[in-house]
Amino acid sequence: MNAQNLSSSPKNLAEKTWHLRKSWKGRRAVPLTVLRRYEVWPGHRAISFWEWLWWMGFHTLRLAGLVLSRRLFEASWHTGLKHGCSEPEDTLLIVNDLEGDADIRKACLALKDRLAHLAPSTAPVLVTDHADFSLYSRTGWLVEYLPKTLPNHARYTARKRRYLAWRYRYARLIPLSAGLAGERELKDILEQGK
Amino acid sequence: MQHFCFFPINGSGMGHLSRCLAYARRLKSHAQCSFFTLASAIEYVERMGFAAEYFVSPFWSCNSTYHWNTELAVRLGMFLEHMRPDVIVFDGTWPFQGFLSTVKAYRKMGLPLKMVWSKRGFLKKSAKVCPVDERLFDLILEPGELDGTPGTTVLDNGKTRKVTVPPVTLLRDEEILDRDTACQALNLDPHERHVLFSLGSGNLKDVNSLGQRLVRAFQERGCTPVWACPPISVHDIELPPDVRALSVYPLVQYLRAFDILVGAAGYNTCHEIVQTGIPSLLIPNTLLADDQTRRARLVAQYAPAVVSSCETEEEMTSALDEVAALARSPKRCPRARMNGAELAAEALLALATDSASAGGAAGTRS
Repeated sequence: MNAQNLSSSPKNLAEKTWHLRKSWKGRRAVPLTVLRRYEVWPGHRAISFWEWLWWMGFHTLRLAGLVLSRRLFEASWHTGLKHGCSEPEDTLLIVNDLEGDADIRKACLALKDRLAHLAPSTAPVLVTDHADFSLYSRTGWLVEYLPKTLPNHARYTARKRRYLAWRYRYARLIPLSAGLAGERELKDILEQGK
Repeated sequence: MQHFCFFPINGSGMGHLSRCLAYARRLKSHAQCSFFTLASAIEYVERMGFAAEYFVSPFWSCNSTYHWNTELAVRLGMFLEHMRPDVIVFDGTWPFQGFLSTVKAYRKMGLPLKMVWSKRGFLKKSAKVCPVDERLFDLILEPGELDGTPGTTVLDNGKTRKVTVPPVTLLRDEEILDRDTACQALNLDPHERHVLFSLGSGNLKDVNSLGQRLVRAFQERGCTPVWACPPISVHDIELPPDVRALSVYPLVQYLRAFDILVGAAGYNTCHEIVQTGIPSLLIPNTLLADDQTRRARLVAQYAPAVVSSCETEEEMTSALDEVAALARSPKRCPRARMNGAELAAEALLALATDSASAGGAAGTRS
């Protein structure tokens, strides 16, 4: 995953983070087609008069172009988890740039501990292609998985990565390897991202 | 080759996921199977040889129902567009609005997709009835209970078939290890008496808890307690130092290593007890929607099982005496039909074949 995310070979964490943020920023574009195509409507069940009235109002607003735009705001997707940071002030996107099981495990656990005191009101979201959910479920982080097992997975993960770049466009972004760096370095890149 | 996409709804639990894996494993040699799962157990799905995508469960997410559904719709839509399955199988009690809406939008693009609801019944009379219309689906698959009557009916729309199958189990009988092999795999001494506790992820250091009282009672009778921890759990369970933790999947593969199982009466546990014939103490969870007390009593007709709430010391002592007696001299039980997964796979294949011939005739699929 790191080869696709990092176009150069950064010397230190700050440089690596800068490259990563730049490459994610370059991907983001409003996925209007897919948002419109998969808008959610009722119609699969019997609804009460009051619910019908609510949906009529909703349809009217939609026709006026006011509802879809609501989804373009950050607030429409809550990154908190009930067993993690449930009332976050902001979101931290952690992009996995590591390969080995042991390194990933060590970085996740170290980052979890450090974020608990450096950024307690931040909801972390881990973007990873590595399936170790027995570990992730204990971190309290939301996980965005980029599956490698799908046929023609590169096409799918590239599309999903573009979507995630838009979905988490307001989030601060750091590489997972920040968990293996010193606390001072981590604090610096967290500050830079604000 | 036909392509099935499974959509199980668990958060930390594995029940719906296990049932979908049971279907997929029976279909594997005839069809392609993939998973879009809310169960955070992707590694186990991939280890069984299936491609899998993950989306956060509504039981974990802090989003409102509407926002979670709108995000689900986009994610599932992108997955379907990439995978192009012939059939999507939803396994859960309540099909999400985002799920139904996505299938509708996907079909609007001219892409054929059959929709199946794997719908476990056996609900308590007081359970809330799901308002989703079954006629929206092409097939309702009902994983049956021990007293169920397998068969097929057609709903009043003349299109939706409802197929009830015997109990569904993840593994075939021949895949379950014998005692010696299972003990060796789990590093347990086959000469000791092991009791497996499969009661979920409560805190066992709470001295007042039922689990702690049962562990102590079995230890006093010379048994070695082993506590089954769910492989995907949001926190680590705290165990006393003399209780061993065990985290394996699928647990049923190793059940014969144990002399007694102490568990709740969920669908999978109950049918795995019948499949393996392991003496069991069943403590029904009365807080859930399914009727666990009734299911546990049914199991006791087909397996050496004792049903008790173990609320008082007297109840617990009596239950322990009974289950110990069963472990010493197991009773002969009638054999139950446990081929639900095979029959479900046949029903799914038949549906996909219909869909392929219809799609081929219409020339809609590339």
